Amino acid sequence: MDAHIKKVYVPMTETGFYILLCLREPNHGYGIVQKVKEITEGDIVLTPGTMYGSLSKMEKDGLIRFIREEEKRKIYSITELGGEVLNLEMRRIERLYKNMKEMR
Amino acid sequence: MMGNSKTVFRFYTVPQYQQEENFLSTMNEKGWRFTHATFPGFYHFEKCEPGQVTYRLDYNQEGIQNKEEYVQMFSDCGWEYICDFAGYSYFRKEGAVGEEKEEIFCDDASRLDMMKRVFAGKIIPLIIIFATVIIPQLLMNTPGNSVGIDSMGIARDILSFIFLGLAIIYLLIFSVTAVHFYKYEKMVSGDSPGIRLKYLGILTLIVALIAGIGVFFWATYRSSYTITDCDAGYVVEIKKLNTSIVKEFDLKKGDTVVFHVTEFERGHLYLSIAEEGKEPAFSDDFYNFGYKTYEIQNDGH
Repeated sequence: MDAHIKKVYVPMTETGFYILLCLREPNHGYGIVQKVKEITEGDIVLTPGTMYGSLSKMEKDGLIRFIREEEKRKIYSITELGGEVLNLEMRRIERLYKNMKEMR
Repeated sequence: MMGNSKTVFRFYTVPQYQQEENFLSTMNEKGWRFTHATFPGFYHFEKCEPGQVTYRLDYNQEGIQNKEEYVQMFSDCGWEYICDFAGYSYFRKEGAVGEEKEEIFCDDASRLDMMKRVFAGKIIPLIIIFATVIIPQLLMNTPGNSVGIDSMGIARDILSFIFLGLAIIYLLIFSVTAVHFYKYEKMVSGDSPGIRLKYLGILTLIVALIAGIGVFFWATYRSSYTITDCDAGYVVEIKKLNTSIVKEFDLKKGDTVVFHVTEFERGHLYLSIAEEGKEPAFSDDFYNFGYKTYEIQNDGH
């Protein structure tokens, strides 16, 4: 993983994290929006400008890849590099959570 | 009779897209629904029921190139696509401004990304125009001479002031943009010394440019190469700091040419007087300021 990816994505935004988390299964932008809304009980509603920008940026950086188009919606899936970034983030958040629990 | 459509002219500089959004919402509240915009800033509306509608602008060239899926993503999320204008895509959604769900960006990072796209797409071309057209034209059309009988003088001066005005507008746009960027970047990455240093540098550069242009004009219009008592067909040429000022004056035998070099113009000046199209009959170099008087004698010497 090169320095640029680390600088941009570690730590990453909540939006970025949920996108990678969801794209472990192929999905399109609006599918991710719905999924995130569901798993956060409606607290997080990702917006189209953010979603479109993030997906194209992540595709350019090789974190996700375009698979196919379905009814004018681009379907993406996470890449190996994306998986590495996601793992780094998961470990960071786990530690954050663990420390929060211990210090509370 | 009231028409069913209306056109309003508005000019927004690059960082003012939020004012533009508010303008469109206000029009909608008054019963005018935005339909499209045309160059250079005509906003077209059609009559509608007054209502609260949120307008949002996105700047995404990739989205415009992949229009179908771009618009699909927005319409899936409840945004109606209206049109593109000047690189921006216009969207609207029924409902009042200010609710979080009525935004197209949900975090500052992506809003900053949009600002960066605007920077690459709109500000960088402006910087290129500024550096390659406006500044050279300003320097070329502002000769170090303001007094004298000169047919080009007024046209030059007008051009000089037009480019001065443009330079000021550009620098203003750059300043406002820098302030907007600073605000967003501070919000996203926190107020670190690095960011402050970066924007301090940019603002210092802009202030230095303004000061530089100011000094340039002050020096230009303060300094004068005064030429008096001129009468028949000679060309007076003054060269200073690689800028050549060629002017035609009507000089004749017995005339006195007086050059007044102000303190500010001290430096190497080269002066020549010649009949049109001929070798100089007279030339002189001078290094100090003060008055120099030349009398035109035989053969223009």
